[in-house]
Amino acid sequence: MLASRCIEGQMKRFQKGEKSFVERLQMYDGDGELHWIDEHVIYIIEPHTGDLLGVSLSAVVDDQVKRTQELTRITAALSREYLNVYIIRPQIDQQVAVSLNGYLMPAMNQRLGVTVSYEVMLKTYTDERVTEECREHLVESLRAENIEKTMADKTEMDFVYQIWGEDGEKHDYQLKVIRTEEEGTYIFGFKNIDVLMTEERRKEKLYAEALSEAKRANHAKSDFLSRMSHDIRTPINGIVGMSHIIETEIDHKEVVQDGIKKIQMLTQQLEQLVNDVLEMSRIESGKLQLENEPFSISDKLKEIAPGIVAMAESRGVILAGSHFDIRHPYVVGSPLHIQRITMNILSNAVKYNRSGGTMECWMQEKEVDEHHSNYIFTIKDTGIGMSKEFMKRIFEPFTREHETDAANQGTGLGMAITKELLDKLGGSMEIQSELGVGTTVTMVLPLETTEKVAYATIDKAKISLRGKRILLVEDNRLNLEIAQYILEEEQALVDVAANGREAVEAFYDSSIGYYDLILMDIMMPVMNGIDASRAIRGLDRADAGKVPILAMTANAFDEDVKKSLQAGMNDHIAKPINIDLMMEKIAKYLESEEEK
Amino acid sequence: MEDNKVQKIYEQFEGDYNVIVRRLKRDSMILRFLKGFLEDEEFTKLETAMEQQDDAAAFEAAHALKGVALNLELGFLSKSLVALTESLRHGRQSNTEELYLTVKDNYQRVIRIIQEGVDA
Repeated sequence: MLASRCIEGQMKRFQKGEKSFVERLQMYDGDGELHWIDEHVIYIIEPHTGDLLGVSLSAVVDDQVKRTQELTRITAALSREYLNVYIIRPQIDQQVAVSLNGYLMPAMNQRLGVTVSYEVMLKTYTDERVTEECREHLVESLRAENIEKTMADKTEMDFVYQIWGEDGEKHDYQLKVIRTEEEGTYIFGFKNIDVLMTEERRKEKLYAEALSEAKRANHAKSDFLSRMSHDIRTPINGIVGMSHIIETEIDHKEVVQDGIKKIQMLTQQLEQLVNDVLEMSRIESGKLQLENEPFSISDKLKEIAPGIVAMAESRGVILAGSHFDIRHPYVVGSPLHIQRITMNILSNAVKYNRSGGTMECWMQEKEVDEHHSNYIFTIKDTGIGMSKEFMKRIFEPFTREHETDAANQGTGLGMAITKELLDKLGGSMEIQSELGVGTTVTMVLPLETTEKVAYATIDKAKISLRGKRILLVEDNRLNLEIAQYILEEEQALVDVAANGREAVEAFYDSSIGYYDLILMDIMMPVMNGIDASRAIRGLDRADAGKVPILAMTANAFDEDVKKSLQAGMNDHIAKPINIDLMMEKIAKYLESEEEK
Repeated sequence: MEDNKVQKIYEQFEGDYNVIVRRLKRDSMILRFLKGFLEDEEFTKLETAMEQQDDAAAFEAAHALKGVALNLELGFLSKSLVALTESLRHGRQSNTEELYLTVKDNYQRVIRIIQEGVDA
């Protein structure tokens, strides 16, 4: 066999001085299976003849080749992903580098293919690089006498630990240990997993935050409920107490009158509380519907002025002035909510003031770009101010600084609602206050600006009440006549009712869809506008839920408006009647009816 | 000068003539409703309620009268009624009586202005 293979080549090797060589070959055996063979050839010169003889020793090395191939495959695969890769034989204290793309220890002579002491490398590496917290675990798991135990029943294992990098920072590292098929031989791959761990930690932090937020919310909820129950119980106790007094003192007219007055006040408080709680929950449950309509922000703010002026006058608060510096009064947004927020802040400035105290406000516009501006509303008072402790909790529901002040007894929800609304509108608020000196509230509302033309032409051309059937409900005869006259001048067909009950009856007696609109006063004898609207909405007929009902009220933004919306009324018209505004509002609802 | 009779009345009310004429369109209508005000019963109700110390009824009457006064742009009377209504909203306050007396005085002045103005 040997002779048949390149004898000349063999000769050349011998002449070059080789006395022997090993060749790895693949050969088929008798069964036709392919095997790896190591052929060891030794050259001998026949002393007598001087002939060159080759003695050949062959061995089947399939297993060895397979192991080497496996090692090569694993190390190649690891080298793509890991920075430094080593073949380790702990029992014989060997470590060979097969890939060195990462950090090299200065003290060690690390080169590819060079065998070094595993024990020394492990100690040097862990001492020099690995952080103290991670060091012991790593050394104990991997030292020569333990690694078998560590890797028992496992083909591979990951160690995650931290090292001190050259930049002086901690880094996350992973060591992958793979047990090979060769007895006592492992492959170690090292890589930096900062990115992975940062992401992992970010997620963990997120989960932790979500958890603590959920806990906080849950706590806030129970807190809210217990405070609410307390606040409900207080007026109820008062009412119960007063009715007992009335019962025992029934013959003393003055006591009875005083008791009834107190009961009325307590009932109002209770109602206000329930309304505020409902509103709060509506905002929080995301049921709040923001409008997106064009309106004049200065008009809307002027609309709430009369209520504030009256409040200030009745409490002896001096209005030191209001200053408007607005270039674009026409904006797109949610006018009712903006009014509500401003009203809350303004009324607080009056409520928490004192006789002879002042209040002043400014509205400024800061242009952001061509179509957007920030509207900055500043309200400054020289009232009673707030303590620092109270300021911290001012937006929490049911916080009141002056529990005992019966005249100013609020629900403690006003600022919470204001803040929530403002958040929903994308605005922000800043409060500065000093006890006994006064308070300054600055609100910033970002709004889209618009042209007056676009705003004014929306309905004007189309507004006509010709032939529209309107049910007008108003108890004062003169006011009724005036409103009827104005509506009839616009060619509406007007039916009148003198109180809520008459209105419900008139609607009940009419055929379905007969009325296009109901204009309803709020405060009326026999049945007020709120109850009447609720009754109409509750009727079992096709148009009961649809017919637009507009409240007519003198305080454009007092409790009546809130109650009227809660009772199912669509909107409100300010008294005294401003024809243009009234027509625009009416047209809006008549139109939307027609669209249906 | 028949032409600016209503305007003169409104000067005395300290009310805005331009606003009322925009609302009611014609002087003749304004006069008609001003005469109507002489017949209005809300002030009597307010007076009775104040005398009987019935605060709830007083509030209702003040509120209703305020509505009428605002609708007719009765300047100083409207203003004093706004203040009185607020002071009665949550029961009688320390300044209610004083505010009521101002309203009473203002009401009588308005009635006089109307009576004299209409006949002029």
